[in-house]
Amino acid sequence: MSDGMSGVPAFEAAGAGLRYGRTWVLRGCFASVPQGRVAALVGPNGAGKSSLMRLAVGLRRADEGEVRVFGQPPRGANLPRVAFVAQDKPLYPELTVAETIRAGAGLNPRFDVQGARKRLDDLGVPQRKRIRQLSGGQRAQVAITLAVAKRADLVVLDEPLANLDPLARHEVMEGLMSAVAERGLTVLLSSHVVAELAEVCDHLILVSRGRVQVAGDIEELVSAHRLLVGPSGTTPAGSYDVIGRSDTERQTTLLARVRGPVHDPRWTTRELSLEDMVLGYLRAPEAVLAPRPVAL
Amino acid sequence: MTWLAIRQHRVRVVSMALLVVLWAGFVTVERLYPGIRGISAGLFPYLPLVMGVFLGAPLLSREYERGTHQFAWTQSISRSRWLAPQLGTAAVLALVTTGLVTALIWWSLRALPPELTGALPFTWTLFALALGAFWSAVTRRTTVAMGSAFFGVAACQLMAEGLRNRAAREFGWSPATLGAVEAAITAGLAGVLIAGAWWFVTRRDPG
Repeated sequence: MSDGMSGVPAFEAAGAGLRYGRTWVLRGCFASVPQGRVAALVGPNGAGKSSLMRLAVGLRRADEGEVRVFGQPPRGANLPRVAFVAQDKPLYPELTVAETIRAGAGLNPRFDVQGARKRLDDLGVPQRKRIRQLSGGQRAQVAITLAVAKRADLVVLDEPLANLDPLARHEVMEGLMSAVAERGLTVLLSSHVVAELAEVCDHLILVSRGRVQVAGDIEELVSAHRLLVGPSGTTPAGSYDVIGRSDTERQTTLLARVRGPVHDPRWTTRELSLEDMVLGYLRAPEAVLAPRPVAL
Repeated sequence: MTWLAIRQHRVRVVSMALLVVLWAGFVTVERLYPGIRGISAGLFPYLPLVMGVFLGAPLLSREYERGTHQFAWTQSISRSRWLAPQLGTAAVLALVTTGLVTALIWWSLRALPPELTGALPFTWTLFALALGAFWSAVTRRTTVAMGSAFFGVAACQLMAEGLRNRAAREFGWSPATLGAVEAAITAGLAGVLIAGAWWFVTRRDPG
């Protein structure tokens, strides 16, 4: 939906925190996803990815700070703009696929019944079967189809590829990306496997130990980081921040965020993959690269 | 959304229909052999237990246990608007069942005992349902909610029995007055419990 507010981030966490009882699972999280992006929410198991998603879709309220979806809290009149598929793809097992679509249509004013039926036909999901009779991949397809058919502007998917075989993973991802292309959605999807997201995502939110460690455009992030390899005992000249280092007897490898060229003939500079960068940050939990967005 | 609520209650609608059919069969036997007349009326106090345990207790805990609250509450409608048809469907089902069973008892006895007159059977049904739904929202576990509803309703029935006798003895209230007061109290408690269940669903965050 274009509403002349394209400058407003689709998702924004402003110092958001969440606790279960006395334990904080998220603390002071800052992140923002511009509209139209496919954002990857990555991090180790138990880092707080699911909690951040629950905040984004209004299943929980932030205990500190704020979470906004298109500039508003994800509640009330804003609910139609956000769709969510939880980790286990919860659907009513006793309902048939057709009945599940009917339920979706009844619960959402903008629901696209024809589109949902057609998509499931194309994917070969039998609509007369009950949800409990479907395979894991088919069930995931139904859950994602429902989320897309809601015609929300932000679709939040918690581990959409978990428990799926490689073929089903490919099909789920392909289906999702075709929906993104058709509708110009913003997608926020989580995974603890970075590799499977690198191809489809253009935005990154790295969560570790209950806070946002890195957030930003993937291309910009990757191009800002370099692997510096040189003889041990020396440090290259130039303007950079060291995120991580590993030493062997002969050489030192630095994972660095570079701010300018590194001039040192003894040192070589290599480009990094997204996965290497993420791993580097996960090994260095004290390094934080999440710019605080300007408050609305 | 009413269609989903009714669809989710389909198995329970069939169970309640079976219960009415069984009761009808029993009452028919009573009419054929007048010597056993009154047994079905004596079974009536178990009906609120059934409502609390099988209609009230699973209402919300089934959603929590299967994670489907994450589906239901992230559609376009508020939790209140989701909850209303769920409670409404369960209440209509419980009231219709109670009405049919009361009618069957009347058909057998040609009169209704004091505890089955007026609104009383219906307010007890609503109270039991509300107690089950309340425990369902609080405990989020079907088995725990069922147990709590069972013992809760049974304990309240025992207490009501004691209070009824005492009021009749000390205030000399007529059965009609007693019935009206009891109906008002059970209906009021049902309202409070429903409000409590609503509060837990809409105000407390799911885990």
